[in-house]
Amino acid sequence: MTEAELILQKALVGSGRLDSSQWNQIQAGFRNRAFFSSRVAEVNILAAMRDKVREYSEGGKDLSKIRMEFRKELETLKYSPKPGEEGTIHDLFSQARIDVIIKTNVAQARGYMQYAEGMSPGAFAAFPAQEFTRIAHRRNQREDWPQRWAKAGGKTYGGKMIALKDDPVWERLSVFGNPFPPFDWGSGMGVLDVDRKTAIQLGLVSDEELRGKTAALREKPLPDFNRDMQATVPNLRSDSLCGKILKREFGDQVVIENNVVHWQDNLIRDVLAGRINKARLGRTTPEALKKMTGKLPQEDVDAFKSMNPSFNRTTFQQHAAKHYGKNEKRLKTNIPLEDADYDLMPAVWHNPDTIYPGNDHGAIFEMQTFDGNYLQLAVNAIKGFSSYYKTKIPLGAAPGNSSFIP
Amino acid sequence: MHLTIKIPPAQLRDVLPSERELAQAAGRGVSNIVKRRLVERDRRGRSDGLPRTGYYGDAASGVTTEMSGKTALITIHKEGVALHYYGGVVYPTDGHKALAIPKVAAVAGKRPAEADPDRTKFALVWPKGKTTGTLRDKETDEVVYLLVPKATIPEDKTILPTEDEMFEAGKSAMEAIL
Repeated sequence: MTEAELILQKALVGSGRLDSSQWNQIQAGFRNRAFFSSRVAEVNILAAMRDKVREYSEGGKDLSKIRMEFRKELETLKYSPKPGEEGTIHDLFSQARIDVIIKTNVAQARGYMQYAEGMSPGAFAAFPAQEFTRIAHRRNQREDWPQRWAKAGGKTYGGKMIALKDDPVWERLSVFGNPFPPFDWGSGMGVLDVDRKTAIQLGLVSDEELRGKTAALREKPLPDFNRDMQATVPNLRSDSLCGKILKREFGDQVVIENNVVHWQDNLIRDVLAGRINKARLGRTTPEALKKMTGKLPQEDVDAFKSMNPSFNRTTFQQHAAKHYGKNEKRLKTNIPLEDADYDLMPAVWHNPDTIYPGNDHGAIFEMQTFDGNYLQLAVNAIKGFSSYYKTKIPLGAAPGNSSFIP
Repeated sequence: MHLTIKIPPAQLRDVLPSERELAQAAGRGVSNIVKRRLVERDRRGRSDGLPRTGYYGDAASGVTTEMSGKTALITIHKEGVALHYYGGVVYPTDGHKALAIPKVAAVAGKRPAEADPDRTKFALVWPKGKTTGTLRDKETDEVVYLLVPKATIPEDKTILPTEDEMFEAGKSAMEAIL
């Protein structure tokens, strides 16, 4: 799996009002699998960011070009920084912010890849330890790493910060809670392997212990970066502040049980692929209800307020066959839905830009995407979700100019 | 005389690493020496006086080893590393007539279109008959970018270890686990 694929698998998670320090409190196992940016709630902006991170990781475009393209997409999405935050790290147009987003995500994907390779049985047996050291120059380098290393329980050998690869010191050292670089935002610190002979000479491990550890790695390889979408968070309860924040931001995509957060990743893709029968996306938001008030009959607004609709593959396909199956013209103007579009469907339900009234208790929830197109989710106040479209023109500008793609 | 000793595969596995594990060790050994060389290069800094960007360090962070059966493929995920290693000529693309080489720290790592999106800050100076031009700061007349029709990057094999060094690194890693 390439780093670009790792990045694309990350679930889009609007962080709402959480800032990076609050995110740091949430365990890495969960956050690694989510694509987020501090205080960015708009999932369509996150989708644009994720796409740019993927492009950068694939090479071929320099960071300057990526930044310019991303700024254009932000303009398309009508983003503007809050008054007083222009040019600061909170401003998504700023170079500093874009660089942090892109470099941190790429660095984490690369850090994980190097870590996973180093924990393969053969690589671990030959290089069981690593030295914490500066890998890349940074203009403003942190000087307190030796203190942080000691505080995390790390030991030094001849002035070098060295530990076994499976030592918990690495996770304690990282503000992200990861055992791999980067260990802090924008940090140029990283790791260099230490060979078997040196690790044994330093007394970090014995030859016999190494055989045991290597055998254990053969039996139980590392989980994939994006697989088991769950993380243990100490003292986490559904009714705790952290639990409430998670539920508020993620809705039914998270389940909290016994201090473990379970993430239902890529729900829509899973339904369409037949991996699960249906998915509930939770209730829509007060912001969405405000947008429909006055446009839709009040009884429908009340129905939308209380409904927790499920997404069902069969219903979608039947709807497509009934309404668009024979409409060649519309099928030709379809914009194919891609994985990222399916990832955005919960966001269209929760935070649409516009809601249009439809026929027979129906409504269209619409959200603009960073590529200048529009996602439209048809929802019926009685029956629930019925279809999902992608069009070039917003419904308000050209009613009916959309077509469904099953 | 022939002597045949049969060891059940499960027991053999406990004693000897598999071929795949040997390849993992060798691959890691090679990627380690590549990574270390790039880190050393990063520590040397730049010769053009512009701020250091951590380019080679970032390249070191992008060294990965991909296993395919018994083969390990080492990749450096960083744009431009191959160009520096092999050398070559860079031409402008996307319809541009010249390459813009940053000459001051404020625009390092930025294209002119990003540094001056409204085209109000820089003035184009390209004397007739000359092959190079400049973008100058309108207020200070300082040269901000040098504009050239092409740039020749010299071959620099020292950014990576030699093939012999890589072979030795892979061999040593395998020997360590045998």
